[in-house]
Amino acid sequence: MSKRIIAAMLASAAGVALAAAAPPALRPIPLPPPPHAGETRCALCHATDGWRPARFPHEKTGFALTGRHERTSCKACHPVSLREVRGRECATCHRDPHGGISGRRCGSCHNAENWRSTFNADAHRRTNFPLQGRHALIPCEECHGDRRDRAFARPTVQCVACHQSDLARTSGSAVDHAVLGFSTSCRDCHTWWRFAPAYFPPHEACFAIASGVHAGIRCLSCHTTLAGASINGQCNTGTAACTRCHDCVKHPAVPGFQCTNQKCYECHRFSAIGGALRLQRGAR
Amino acid sequence: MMPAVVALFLALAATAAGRGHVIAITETHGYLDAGSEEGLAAGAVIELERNGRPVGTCRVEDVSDHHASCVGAGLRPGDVFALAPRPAVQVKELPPALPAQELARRLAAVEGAPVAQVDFVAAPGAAPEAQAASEVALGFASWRSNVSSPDQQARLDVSIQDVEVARNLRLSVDLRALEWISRTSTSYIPGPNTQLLVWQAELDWRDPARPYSVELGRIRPWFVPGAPVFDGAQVGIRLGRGEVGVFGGLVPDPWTTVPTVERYQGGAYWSVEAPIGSSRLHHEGRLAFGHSPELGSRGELGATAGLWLSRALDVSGEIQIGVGDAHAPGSLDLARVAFSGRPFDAFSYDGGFGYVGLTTPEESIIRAPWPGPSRRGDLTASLDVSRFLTLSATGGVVQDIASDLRRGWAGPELSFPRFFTPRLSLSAGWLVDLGWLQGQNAYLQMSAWPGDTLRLVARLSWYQDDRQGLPNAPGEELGLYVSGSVQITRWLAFRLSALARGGIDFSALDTYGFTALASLAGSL
Repeated sequence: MSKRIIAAMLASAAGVALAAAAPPALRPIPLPPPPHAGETRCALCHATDGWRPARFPHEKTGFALTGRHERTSCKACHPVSLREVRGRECATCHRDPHGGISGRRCGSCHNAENWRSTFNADAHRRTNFPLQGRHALIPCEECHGDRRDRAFARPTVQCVACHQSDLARTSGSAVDHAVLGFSTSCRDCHTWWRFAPAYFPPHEACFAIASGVHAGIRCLSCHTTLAGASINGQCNTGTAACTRCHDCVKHPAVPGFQCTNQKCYECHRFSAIGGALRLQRGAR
Repeated sequence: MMPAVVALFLALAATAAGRGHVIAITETHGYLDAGSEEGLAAGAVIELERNGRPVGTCRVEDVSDHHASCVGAGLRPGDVFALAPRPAVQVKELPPALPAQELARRLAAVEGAPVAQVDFVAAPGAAPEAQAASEVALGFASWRSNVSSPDQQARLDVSIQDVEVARNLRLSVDLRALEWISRTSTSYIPGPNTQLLVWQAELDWRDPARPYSVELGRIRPWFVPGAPVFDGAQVGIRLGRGEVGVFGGLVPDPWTTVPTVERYQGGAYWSVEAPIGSSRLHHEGRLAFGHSPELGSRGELGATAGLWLSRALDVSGEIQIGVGDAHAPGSLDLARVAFSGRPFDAFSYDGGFGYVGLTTPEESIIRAPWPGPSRRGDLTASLDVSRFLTLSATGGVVQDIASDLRRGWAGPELSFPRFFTPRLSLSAGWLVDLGWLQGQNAYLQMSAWPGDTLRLVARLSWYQDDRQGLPNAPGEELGLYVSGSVQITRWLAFRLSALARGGIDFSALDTYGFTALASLAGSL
């Protein structure tokens, strides 16, 4: 009995020793899942000339593959499984170079072909500042200083935000906007293309210069000075010098005629309200 | 099992009867149950019938022994086509086999012949189509009008994205070197005439076998919502379906991108993407502390979430909260919501709403780069009436809160994605402008791809400004935009875009001008 026990023990020990000496059983490695989770209708995506390129009708998912997406590897967006849906949002696959300032709807400025911006002067009309006149013909950086994040954001659409230096340039001139109390809303008087000639709406009530024979005339062609000019609607600056350009040779027979600037204006208002070139009969 | 048996039976029966079937389709392809053994050859055009009536043709593209694919439109499974009778095969009689001794002699001669090793050199064009990840472009830009001196700029753009420079180490560079040849104003564009703007210069180490990643250099960060470019490091650890990590560094000057110690940021970030039932959630977050001369020291929390509910609705949102020396009302720096979807094959929509609350104190408003308090909302809906016609409607409103200036726009668009040929599309639209600048505008746009290497876009626009009281200004303008690119070789392209604008009321002013950008781009 003891011999059997001893033999059994020796056999067990030998077995353990052999087992220890044998290479360990390999850890089972799970097979990768089939690429399409059991889908066997290969012809839905693949042609007969090979597995690539696959032609899955991706538009059926609600995200049509256009532009560069057509040539992108499926695994670039579906690294785990082709059945794993991904959001349509660009940030699902792309980094934001704008520091979060421009939002996450890349399609407003980019298309699927490449990252070169498709944003142009027309697209700017879908902002708070349509690019009118010369604004469409200047470098973007003239207004958008955010070159690090390239977010093209401005704090305001007030004209003076960009044209502060232009406003300051009038200081000390005949049309010192600050002295004359002009508005900082440039568009009230200036066109989208250039600052001169300007248009002054209150002037029309006194003397039309936006249309008619005096259209576009410069301020100091008529006014001896703009100092002290105020927008009071009384038409009494006393600085308009008609006789600079006009003589009085036609009027000697007109009753009450005097060859002075004020007298010219009493008859020839050229007011947009009264009608251009209408003679004020009651003044005779 | 049964459907397969039935399909096999049908296929055998059909081919036996000299007819083939369309068994599956995609938008552009049909898959056929007949192949070269049934007489089909690549390039052949087959005529399809449905219920005994002709329904179109399909050009055979790829052929195997008993299956083929073809290119055509309007196909349906079950469409049938006639198979040409298979030509009788002429079996060529082989010459008699050589004697065994002669075969042995030739084998010995081949085996004994010396063979010199040669290096493999791929033939030009043999490599698979590469996706250009790197590009160098030399460009020239000009802005001219008859009311001012011209601005002209030469520029060199370099973009290198994810190029593996060593094992698991990738390099990304994005920069521009520019030279102002002439410029009329230096008020708004700070810096010298020659400038180097660097937006990215990072080394990214990611080993698929290890859970962590490291990025160094001028980093355009991944998964860190609201973080600007910074000079520093980002270290992340992948955890299951997400990633967490830390980031930090100096933030470059916003106008020149020059490194500076005046601005810095650092903090933690996280990202997770996970299925929720049949939908999917993508979430990113940032908790950071930073400092800048404009806003002082601040703590910021940013978070985004995108929820893909179904093809009918995709919703995303983002929010940024900031506390510290400067803060927005309610500490809400910004909040945005966007939504889009294609509930039906023919209908899609896209819209959103955004609010910015943070006001950034400016040293000089002229150099102001930051967005101000504003609100914005817009919506676009499109209906594909057919493959050849799409109707769209778009509209939006935006408000500058600081000045209370508001604008709106709305209008329809008509587009022909395939105007007689898939290589030409046309679209026309009209928008009415509302708010502080009222008016209207319309456009006609053409996009053409005359060849695989040539793209052209032309757009004619008309604008009307309803602003009263400026009769000496052109109340209407015309604009013509032209853009083209030609792929000269696989790696070299030429691009040109130009815009001409002018007033069309020349009674008092004649105003016009143009801008143009031409570039020669080499890609790898």
